[in-house]
Amino acid sequence: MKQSKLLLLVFLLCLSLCIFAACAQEETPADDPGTEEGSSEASGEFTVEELLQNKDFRLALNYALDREEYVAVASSGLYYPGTRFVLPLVAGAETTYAEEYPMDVYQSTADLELAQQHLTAAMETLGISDPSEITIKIKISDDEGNRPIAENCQDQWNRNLGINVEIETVTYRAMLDDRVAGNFELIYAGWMPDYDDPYTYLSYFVSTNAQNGGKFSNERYDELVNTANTYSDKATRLAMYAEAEQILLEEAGIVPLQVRQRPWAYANNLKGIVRYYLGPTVDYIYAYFDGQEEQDLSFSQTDIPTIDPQLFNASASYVAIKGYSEGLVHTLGAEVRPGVAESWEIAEDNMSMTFHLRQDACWSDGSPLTANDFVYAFRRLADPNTAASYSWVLSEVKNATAVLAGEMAVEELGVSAPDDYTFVIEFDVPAPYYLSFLDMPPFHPVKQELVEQYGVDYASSADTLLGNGPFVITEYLVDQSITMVPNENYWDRESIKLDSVTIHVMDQDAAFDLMRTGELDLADIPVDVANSYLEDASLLPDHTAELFMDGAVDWFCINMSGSTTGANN
Amino acid sequence: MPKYILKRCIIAVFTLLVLITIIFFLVRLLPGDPFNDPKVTDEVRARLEAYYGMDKPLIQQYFAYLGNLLKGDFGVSLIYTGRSVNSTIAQTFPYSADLGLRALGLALVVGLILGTLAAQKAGRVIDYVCVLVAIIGVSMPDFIIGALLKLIFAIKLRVLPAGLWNGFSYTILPVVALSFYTLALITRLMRSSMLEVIHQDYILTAKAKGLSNFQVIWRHQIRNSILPIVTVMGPLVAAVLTGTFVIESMYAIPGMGKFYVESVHDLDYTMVLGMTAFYGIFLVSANLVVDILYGIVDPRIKLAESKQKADDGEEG
Amino acid sequence: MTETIAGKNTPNIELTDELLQRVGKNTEEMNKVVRPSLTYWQDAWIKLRKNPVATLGLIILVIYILMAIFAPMLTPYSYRTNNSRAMNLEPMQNSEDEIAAAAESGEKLAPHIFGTDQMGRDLWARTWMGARVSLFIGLAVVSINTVIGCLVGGVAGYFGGRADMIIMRIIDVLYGIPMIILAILLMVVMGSGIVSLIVAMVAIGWISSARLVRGQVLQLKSSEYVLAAKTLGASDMRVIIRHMLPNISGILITNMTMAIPNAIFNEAFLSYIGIGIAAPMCSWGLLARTGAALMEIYPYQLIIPAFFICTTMLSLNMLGDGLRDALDPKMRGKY
Repeated sequence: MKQSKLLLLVFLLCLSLCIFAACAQEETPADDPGTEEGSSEASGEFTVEELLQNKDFRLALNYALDREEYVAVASSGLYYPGTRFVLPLVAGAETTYAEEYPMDVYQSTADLELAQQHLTAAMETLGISDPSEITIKIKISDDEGNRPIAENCQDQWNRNLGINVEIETVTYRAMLDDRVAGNFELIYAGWMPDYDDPYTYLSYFVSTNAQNGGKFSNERYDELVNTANTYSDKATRLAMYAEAEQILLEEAGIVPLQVRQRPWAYANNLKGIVRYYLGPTVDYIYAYFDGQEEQDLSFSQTDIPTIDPQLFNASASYVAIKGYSEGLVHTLGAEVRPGVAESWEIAEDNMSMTFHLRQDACWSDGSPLTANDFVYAFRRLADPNTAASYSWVLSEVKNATAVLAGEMAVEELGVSAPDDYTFVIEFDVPAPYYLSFLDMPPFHPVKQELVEQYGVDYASSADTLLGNGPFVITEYLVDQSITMVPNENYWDRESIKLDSVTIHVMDQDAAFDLMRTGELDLADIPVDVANSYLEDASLLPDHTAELFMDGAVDWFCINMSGSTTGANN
Repeated sequence: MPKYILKRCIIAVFTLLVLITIIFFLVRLLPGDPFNDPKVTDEVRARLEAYYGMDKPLIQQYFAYLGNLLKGDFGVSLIYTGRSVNSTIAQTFPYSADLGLRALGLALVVGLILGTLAAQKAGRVIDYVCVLVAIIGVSMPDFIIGALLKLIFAIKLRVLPAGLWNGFSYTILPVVALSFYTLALITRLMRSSMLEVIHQDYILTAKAKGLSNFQVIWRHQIRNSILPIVTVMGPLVAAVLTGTFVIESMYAIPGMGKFYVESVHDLDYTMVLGMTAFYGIFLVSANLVVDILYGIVDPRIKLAESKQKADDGEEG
Repeated sequence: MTETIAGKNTPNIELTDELLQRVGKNTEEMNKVVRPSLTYWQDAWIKLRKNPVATLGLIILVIYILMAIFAPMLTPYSYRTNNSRAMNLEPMQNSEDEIAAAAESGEKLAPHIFGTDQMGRDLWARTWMGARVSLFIGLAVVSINTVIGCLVGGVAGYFGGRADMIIMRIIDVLYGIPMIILAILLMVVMGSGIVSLIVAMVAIGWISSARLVRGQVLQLKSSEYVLAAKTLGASDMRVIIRHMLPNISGILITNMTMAIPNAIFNEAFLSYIGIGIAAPMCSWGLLARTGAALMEIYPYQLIIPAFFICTTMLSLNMLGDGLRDALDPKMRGKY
């Protein structure tokens, strides 16, 4: 009798475990009337590939989304609902591109009627009788940022259209591969601009672009985007870009999601920090503390793998490199100012640029800096033996592709120094937007003797590098911290007000905590809690909280290639 | 005994070799490509792969790697351009080891004390308190405890720093946070183990012999109940010494943990291999030490081994 | 016969035959076995039942299990519906929009018992939905781990010698492989879902119990009862399972209960990288993880899942202690 009671207990336990198992699984089968693996299996008579290639369906997806809702839910309202593709801040002829060429294809709220119309049209074409027969998959990476948005879109499409949505998570690297290979139905994508021109965004969807894994293809779009650069008049170019963007949105090539804004906070008396979507994410060169003796700045970045200019491969390195090194131009926010070059000319046909360097340009140790140092740097970047991952920035430069492939010698690269103070860049294709680009680290000068002397160890410590920028590095612990003091030989020394800059490397959340306890002077605020700090200033009595647009634009790529497993790529 | 240790060392090296080989091929199976970046063109990708020798057949790469390994060179990171894995380890390991050793020490000492206390006073209030502490310690993972401690002591009360590693006060919070789980585990195991030992006959004998309570505990009870802890400590030491990602990132301690986790995420093959090999060395050594300690701590085990050898000898 | 008994403080008593009554030998009574003969399991169950603390633990667990099964069905809110007009509500509250909507439609508005999360999803529903996943995974994974661990560890410890050496080296290699790599590879091969999640967790999880069992077996190998059993002709398997395991059960149960929260949080970690449960499904580990990020501003979002994990642990521990005492053959119960 007693034994049977024990058996009964064990039996009950097993039963409840089974019920759990069943319940935990049950939710998903309810959402998925069809198959669970590749839904290229037809349920009914249509395939997912056909569905995604149907313009009405894509438009239905777009119109059924209340973009304000997912922004409220996923980022607590911090980000802008994305209703177009190109970043609103991008420069226009006079103001911004967005102001001069507004797009009204999508609104930030849903248009459920329109969505329903398009969905019905799509269902009729494909012979679907009930929206619940449709299941689409969104692929996201394990990056914590994209989950909430995907979950909300999943919920909205389920509510507003009646279709089923599954979310598939893969690792970041796998997602990058899948995106290029076309191995997705809908996939998360994001982009950061390289320069202040719509081309940096729109070139993504040119049909020949390898990154265009969803195979969006439109002749007129290609024509517009590829030829716009041949026009020197900015207004003409922008109008062409605008027309292209309109096509992209009307054809529903993507589901625009959001434009990111980054919340951050800084000490109340800290002035002069510039955070802009172009250039380094923190520009501290002209910063200073108001009303105090001590002018020592301390902040952090997430990861600084290297500070070798040509081997630069992560945006945080930009922040560090721009401190001790300077290129031809020196951008501050949207402004392009003289750097090592005092003045420059851009050819009428946009096929070359000529820079006139300062006569007194020098390295931080006082030795003279000439145009040859730039020639060497560009060649080093193009040299296949350097294996610089950012060498793609040279793509437009004459012969660059051939040099990188090893087919031509580095001397054939389209850069030259007719004399010590003149530097000329020649292009293969018109590149009118290139000017602001030159602020980037791969284009910064390096001293040939030092690079050859230290070889692989160049820029591995404070002693093995030489810069020409506003600051000089006194201590460099790789991926741990960088300490800098003003460069007495800098041409604009009087404008530098800080006495020292220390950049730590640490996790973003830890940085925020250290800012609050006073060890750091500025930090990004974690997105989840940012709203509270932005709304209630009393939570951070010694600091000011702000938002800035960091240029990141997110969207869902839709696979229109006809195969969701990459067979057509 | 020395022969045993030598034999074990050789086997340890062999084990390591197997581990490294498995990981070498396993990471290549991971989906994705370390050089894949939305902005990087195919030509540049190909160039990068050639630069790192990844365009050669895999077997050739494997033997090249082994060759370098024998020279003590763990290779160059694929993501942290130009940095050797050796220098990364050399720079970050001291921090992780420092943090880890302190945490382990704290956990061991406090855990043993609490566990013994709980077992001695089983059924009384102290016992329940110790068990409760242990339960909470085990139920809450490091990211919650670490965040809580930081919130209370560093941000709200401002009595301790919220991060970095510049002095003794900086070590307090991360060490306590890190030691919590191990402390709880040791407390529970010790209590459990000791409760068994307490009821044994030889304890009664010892007491009957007239040994003081302290002597009974110290000479008999602890020694006999410590075995499960030694078992558990082996891999624990290896894990904690080679960096704990969560605590290090939360308290901005520049240790190894970050590389161990992120290198898999970034598909930095050489870094993953280097970290794993390094961790493997510790693991294997720790297990060797544990096995040796078994013999020292519990004479029965040694006896059993030699007895078995004697039996085998007779049969053979 | 009379004797006189005298002592220091006792009065003189004369012992006569009438004072003493012969009881005699009642052989039947002497041979009666008063204490019932019990098998090991009967003994264990009796001890368990009589232990109030353990019983309390069991009751709490049963309550949680029942809630996990039935609560999500009985609540009007779904665990998955986003509601951007009811985000981050504290427990027992409703947002203004919800109140207005209910006033309009005339329906009764149910309060959010545990509040809502960042996406406006009801936390009461999510907590109990998550309970299903966490309890199942916790118990299943730990049980499987223990069974495998016992077998492997028992064999390694008992047979010693080369078998032990090989098994331990295999363990070394397995343990050295980072779990993330295994998890990602499993995800590629098996897809995501509960099964691949369990496989990923078990693949490395059995090692710690195996080690523990091996250590204990090494210790107990030379005990007298083992010798006795072998002398009586017991097979090796029988010795391991029937004699050694019950003596190891104490430590084993402790280890098992300690491993469960580990399993819960491992599951959260794995689900984050894509293997395991998919959104919008949740688990206590996931809830705790998202709650931890918001700890300063919305503490209840962390406190609630943490509370349930802790109390589950507590009940398991109470039950575990009771089980340990019950299964310990040296501690016979009282009746």
